[in-house]
Amino acid sequence: MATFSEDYFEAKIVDNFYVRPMIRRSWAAQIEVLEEIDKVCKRHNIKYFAEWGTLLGAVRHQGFVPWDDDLDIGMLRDDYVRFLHYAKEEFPENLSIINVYNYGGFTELLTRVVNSWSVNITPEFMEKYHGCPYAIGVDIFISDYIPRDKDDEMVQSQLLIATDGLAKNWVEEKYTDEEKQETLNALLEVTGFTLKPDMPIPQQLYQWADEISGMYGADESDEITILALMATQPWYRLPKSCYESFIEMPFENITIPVPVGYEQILKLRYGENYMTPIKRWDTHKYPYFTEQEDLLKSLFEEQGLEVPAIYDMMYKEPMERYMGLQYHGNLDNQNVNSLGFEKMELRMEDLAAYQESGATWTPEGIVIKAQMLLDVGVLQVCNVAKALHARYIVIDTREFLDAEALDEALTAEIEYFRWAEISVYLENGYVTTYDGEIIRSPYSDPTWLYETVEAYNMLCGRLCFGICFNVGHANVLNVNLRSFVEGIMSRLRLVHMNDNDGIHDDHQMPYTFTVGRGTLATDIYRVIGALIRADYQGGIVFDVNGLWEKAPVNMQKSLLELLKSLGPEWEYYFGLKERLGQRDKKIMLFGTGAMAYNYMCNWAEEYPPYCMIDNNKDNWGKEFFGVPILSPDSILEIPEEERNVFICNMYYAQIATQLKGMGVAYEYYNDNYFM
Amino acid sequence: MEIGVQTKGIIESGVDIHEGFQLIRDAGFTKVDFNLDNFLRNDDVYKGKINSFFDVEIEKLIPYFEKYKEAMDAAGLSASQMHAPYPVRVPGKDKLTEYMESCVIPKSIVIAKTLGVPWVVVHPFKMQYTHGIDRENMDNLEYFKVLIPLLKEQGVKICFENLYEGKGNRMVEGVCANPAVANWLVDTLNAEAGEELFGMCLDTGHLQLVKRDPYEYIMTLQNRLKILHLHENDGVSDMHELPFTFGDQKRRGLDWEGIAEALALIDYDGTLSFETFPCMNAFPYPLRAQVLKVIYAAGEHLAERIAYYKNR
Repeated sequence: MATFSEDYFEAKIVDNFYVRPMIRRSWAAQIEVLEEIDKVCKRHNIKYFAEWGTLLGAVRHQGFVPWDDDLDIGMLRDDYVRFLHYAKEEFPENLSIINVYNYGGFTELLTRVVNSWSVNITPEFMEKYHGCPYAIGVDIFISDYIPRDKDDEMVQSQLLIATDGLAKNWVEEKYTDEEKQETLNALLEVTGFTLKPDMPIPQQLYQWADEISGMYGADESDEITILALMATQPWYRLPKSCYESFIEMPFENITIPVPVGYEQILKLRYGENYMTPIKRWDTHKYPYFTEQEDLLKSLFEEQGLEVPAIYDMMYKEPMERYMGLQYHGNLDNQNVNSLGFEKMELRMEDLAAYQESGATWTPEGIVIKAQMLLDVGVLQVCNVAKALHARYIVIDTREFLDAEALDEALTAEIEYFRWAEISVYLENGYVTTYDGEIIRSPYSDPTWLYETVEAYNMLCGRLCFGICFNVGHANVLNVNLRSFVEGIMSRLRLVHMNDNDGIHDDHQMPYTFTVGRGTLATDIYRVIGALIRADYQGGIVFDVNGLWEKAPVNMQKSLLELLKSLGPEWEYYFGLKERLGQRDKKIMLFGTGAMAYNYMCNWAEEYPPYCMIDNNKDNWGKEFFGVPILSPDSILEIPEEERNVFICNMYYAQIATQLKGMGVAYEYYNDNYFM
Repeated sequence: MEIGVQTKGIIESGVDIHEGFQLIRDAGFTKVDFNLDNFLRNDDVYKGKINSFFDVEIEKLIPYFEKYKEAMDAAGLSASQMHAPYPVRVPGKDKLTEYMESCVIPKSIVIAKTLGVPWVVVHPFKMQYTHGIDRENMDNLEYFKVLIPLLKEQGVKICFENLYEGKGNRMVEGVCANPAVANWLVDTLNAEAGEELFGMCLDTGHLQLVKRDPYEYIMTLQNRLKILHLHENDGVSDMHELPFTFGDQKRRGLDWEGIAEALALIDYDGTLSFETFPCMNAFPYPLRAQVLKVIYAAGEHLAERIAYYKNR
């Protein structure tokens, strides 16, 4: 068993990244599994070496890359085959070997050695794996030989891509049964493989892919690669000499073998500047045990117990989509209470009005001006938020320029945010010049906002800082609202929805400012469209204080109802992908005009229509971007349970009446969201 | 007081007229402003792209509009007013002007009778920037005098609307923007007719664009004010949007209290009619019923404020 001193498990900040204690415990647990692998390898003279992030970490950090959470090793094909043979017999009982030969659902061309199948909090397990209760694994990648002969390489590559591709698509059911069978028959004919009747076809396909990968030996080759990458990274190939021998490098408190050609390998993978740390996660959620953490938490909660501190469980912000309303002192609380918005938000300046109003709701979040936050003090504001049971604080950055002071104030309390069940959202702002012109501030820039909250998160070690996108604040600066949203999406936690004339920050009701016959002047549809495309999970809160300042009290109820009814409308389009993706149904688009064209541009690749429907008989029998155009009566020829009809035409009411008359259920598509 | 809304944006192509009128009624309205201009759109008139709708003989148009009347009756609605196609005088297009003056407007008056409409809004000619205010007044007088016999025959009356004109990318005063001129036109024509066949329609948004005080405007019109086009804008563009949805506490917007007080003082007993069709198009289609309820709530609020000033 590897030995670790207790201070190894303490949180550390490395390269400005907070590595929490449980990550360090999981590193130790992985090293424990590696030691078992190492024992088998040493016993049988099997060579292995650090791969991917583990190789980079060994060379650059003499241990794990601070923001990496898993351990990868590699073996040449011959060693890999021998390793699997011996490991099966010699591994301790709790270690399991998972690959395409012994586990039907496994879809990767590698072997994973895991120490458990789920969370395990037995004392023995916790002791053996250094207090890490989560199932952890070490991935073993296979390095194979690329044949010297270019024709052989081409054949191997094509076979591998076809086999692996078919296996993946078989599982994902992307192609029709006929198409799959046709490809399978071709493969059987070319390779001479035979189908086993008692094994699922995808599993057999993955096994064939593995066999194809190992077709050539060292004497037929000058180059080595991980053949599983062939389809996506054909450029990834290294001279055999890189793997001729291995050198031991320090790795945490052990040493790990690295290929002698590690510099060449790392340059090819990560570029010439691989020694410069770049924080990047591109393969899985960080940390990998997020879901297990949730499971563990729920196990404790089911028993009415708090999660013990040893599990180092951080507060995780609930991620869900909801519609909210920002309170204003002019609002009649009877209306607010009776209409019941999902979540309410409170501005600090309305705190007294809220407390005097007899409101029955508790605020989900509070909004405070940046300068006020500095004047009152960060912790004091957090205490107010906690006392109100608020989950988040929005920092309103309008008319605020002292970013340095705000940085200092927030980072001074970073330890508090690490553990407090509260999140902080920076809102995009602007400043007004002495002559009343609204101009940009640093807080108007999406990249700057993103980098700022990211820096706070890095320092904090958890994602407790996010961005609140205020539609109106961006609109008065004439920014591209859709691009703004897309630029901050991964850190977007809240949308403040309001409208204005593009000149004054009126905080009015969305959909108010129009030109001509009602064309929106503010790009609200594209904002919602961007949120829909990204499957945004977070709040959309109406902060329409200008409306409550202008509209009489006796109009509030109907205005609140109108705002509230936007929720189901937007939610309908958030559900568009789900409705389009019903696999057992055929998408039939009613319309062949501009709206249908918009559908084809945005969705047809992922959700191809079965047919187009048109009332114009001159179009029947023709094609619309390769899709047949049929008569409305053709809908009835498709069984009812297979129909997925979308009205895709501006004459929605007319077509809806027609379909109702035919007894056909329908959905509708609005291209405004996806222009 | 009764509250009405224009049919544009609701009774549109493809919409079942029974469902459309019922939607209006369900929001609480009892009156409508029938947009006959929907059948010959102003954009097309300006461009000279005239459809053949008004070429059809009036005997054939009457049964067509009787269906609208039946649908209104069935929903429990009646029309307080109608908007005729416009412009009537089309600058630089004499043939088209002749068609509008002698075909479209007379047929509109007959259609109004069919629909049971008491007041038809006909835009007076806009000529003050090209020919001067005197010529504008004289030409308007001359044309509308000609319509008097037909108005008497059909039992229909005409309202003029205060208009603006677009000059140099700005909205500036147009015909009847000055209430004194509006009064002169109405009074002269009524004297000619020997009875009250002409009145004024106050368009609140148009007044806002030319920075006129609505209280003073209404008080100047007095009982010549017969119908309303209630809507609001940002003070820059003729947006025809919902009242109370512009600006904030610091910026004033339209003086709705002044309007309510003045209407009370002149003892206005007509319909509080909203001309807010763009908001029907701006909000997502499924929210139409809810948008109409907000418009109706604005009407209820105004009615309440008028009652307050009357009883003060």
